[in-house]
Amino acid sequence: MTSNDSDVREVLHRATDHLVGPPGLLGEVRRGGRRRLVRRRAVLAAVCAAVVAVPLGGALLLTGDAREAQVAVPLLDVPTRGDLAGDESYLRQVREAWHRRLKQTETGVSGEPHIVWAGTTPAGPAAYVVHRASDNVVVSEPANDRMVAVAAFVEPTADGPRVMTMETVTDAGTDGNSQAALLGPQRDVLLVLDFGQPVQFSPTLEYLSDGRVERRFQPVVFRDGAAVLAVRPQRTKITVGLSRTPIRQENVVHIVNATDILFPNGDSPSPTLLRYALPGVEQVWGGDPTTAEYQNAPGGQEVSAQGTEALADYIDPVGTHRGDGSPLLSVYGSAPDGRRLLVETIQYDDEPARVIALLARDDAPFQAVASTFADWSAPLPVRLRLPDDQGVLVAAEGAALSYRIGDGAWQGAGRNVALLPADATAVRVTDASGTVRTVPVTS
Amino acid sequence: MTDSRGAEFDDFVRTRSLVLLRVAFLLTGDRHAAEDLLQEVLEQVYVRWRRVRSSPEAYARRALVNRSINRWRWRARRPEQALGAHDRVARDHADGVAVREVVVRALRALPARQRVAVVLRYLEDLSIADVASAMGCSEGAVKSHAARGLSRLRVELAESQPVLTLPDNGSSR
Repeated sequence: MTSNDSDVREVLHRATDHLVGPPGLLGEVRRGGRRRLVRRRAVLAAVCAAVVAVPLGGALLLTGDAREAQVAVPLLDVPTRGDLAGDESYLRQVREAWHRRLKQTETGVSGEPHIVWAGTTPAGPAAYVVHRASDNVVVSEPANDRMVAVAAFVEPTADGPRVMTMETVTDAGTDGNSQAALLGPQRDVLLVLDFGQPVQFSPTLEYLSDGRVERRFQPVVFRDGAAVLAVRPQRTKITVGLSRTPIRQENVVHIVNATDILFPNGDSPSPTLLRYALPGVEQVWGGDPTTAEYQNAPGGQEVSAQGTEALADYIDPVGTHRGDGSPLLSVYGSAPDGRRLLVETIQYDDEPARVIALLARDDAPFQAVASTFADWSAPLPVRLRLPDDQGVLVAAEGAALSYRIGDGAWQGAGRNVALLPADATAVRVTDASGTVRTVPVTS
Repeated sequence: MTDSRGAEFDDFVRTRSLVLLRVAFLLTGDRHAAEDLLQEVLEQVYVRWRRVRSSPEAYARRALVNRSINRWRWRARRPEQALGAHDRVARDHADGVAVREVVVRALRALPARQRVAVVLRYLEDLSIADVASAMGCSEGAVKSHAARGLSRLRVELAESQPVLTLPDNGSSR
């Protein structure tokens, strides 16, 4: 590069100086990324051998060398395991079901399917089948992962073996593939395949009194290629969790029919987003974070703590959940000691919403400092005391709020949300219909 | 559904998305398309995080280049939205908008790979080797694309002199 190039550099920079980061980009990326992960594991219906581009964890590129030498598929190289490995009658039924499914999906395969595992479970006989792909097409770019096979669990039904969701297997390995399935009409049998790595199992998600999540894990003991676990019925929500070690989100073991259970009729109801700014928010946030202007402005603070380390104790590390349409609350303000205040809710399935208060000084990362449960059916759904005498955060959508200290006079505190003085003793909530209720502030 | 890629991914998005958006804007010539492109690429990074976390920006840049080239191939068949229609926001000065339009128009006149080479080399100040990695070609090809692209871009920009005042050669940045 010579000094004479500086004119071009300058003009390219001037042409892009107006750009600011899209508002809410991080949240959108995370949501989109999660959708892609689900899609990546989801139905492989109609991946035609002909040229049809389907996004499976990225753009599907049919490259010119798609028919080059076959890539090794380790799952095809292991003998069938499980106590039904020698049951030719059952294996034949599985192969017939598999071929019926292949016809429906027009999936391009070569050779015969390989039954990796076949065994009895309390829900009936089950299996896992892998079939080499006829073309090793590139299914993601620029990583250039190639499709090497298709695979699926086979579940027992009253009509015989049924092939569950078919997934692509790529030369990147099986980490992205489902390794478990919930079987039986009550979905109370968890079949976990042995892919050669230790797996930890948690039967249920629990909450501590302050809303932090708690999971207890136990090692999955594989026998002859799989483990069969009895679990509580998982018909409407998934409480179980599986993870390779170490236990963390990146190591989650996917359950093939989790999304079918969670979203039997499509997507989950959208939550009502309640975003409020407390008086004086501009002093520490540099503006009103609820506005598009703020989110568009360069240098604006991150307006959500979702996905950050600060909320790690409140996030299920291995579970799969949906929303039930309950409100999602975000409150922006300043604490009396000058720290930035952010209050957010997290809610899974039909379980209570957790309310978490976070504080940050200047540009330092947020720290979760207090939390509780919200009760959206109560006159005052949110009441959360901040530490260090920083006040009590209260919220009631659409209501006028006032408070008093002891027997003192009632002080107006605005609508929807307020940060009350730490020594406030009662809140008066006047809802949209004019009904007045008084709620003590005792904790 | 809830999951977390951890603070590392969040930091990457927070700190590098504006730089990538600038590249995407000059490669696509359209702010909305650039934002869409950026989001698509970052989602791809999210999905691939375990494999790309050691060099997520290089991965994202490569994906950006590939997708932008493909997009440019079919954009000619679709009517293009006028830049000024949605980019002329209140805080912009008229000359800023003019510069933008001229530069985007000039970049559009370049073949796709010359445009990519110019943008990565002169907006991002990447080395020849890094541009070659992003474009998936040899360093020699990058030099050739960049030189031709730069030459042609100068011609295109020079034709817009009544609108665009180029800074003096050698001015520092």
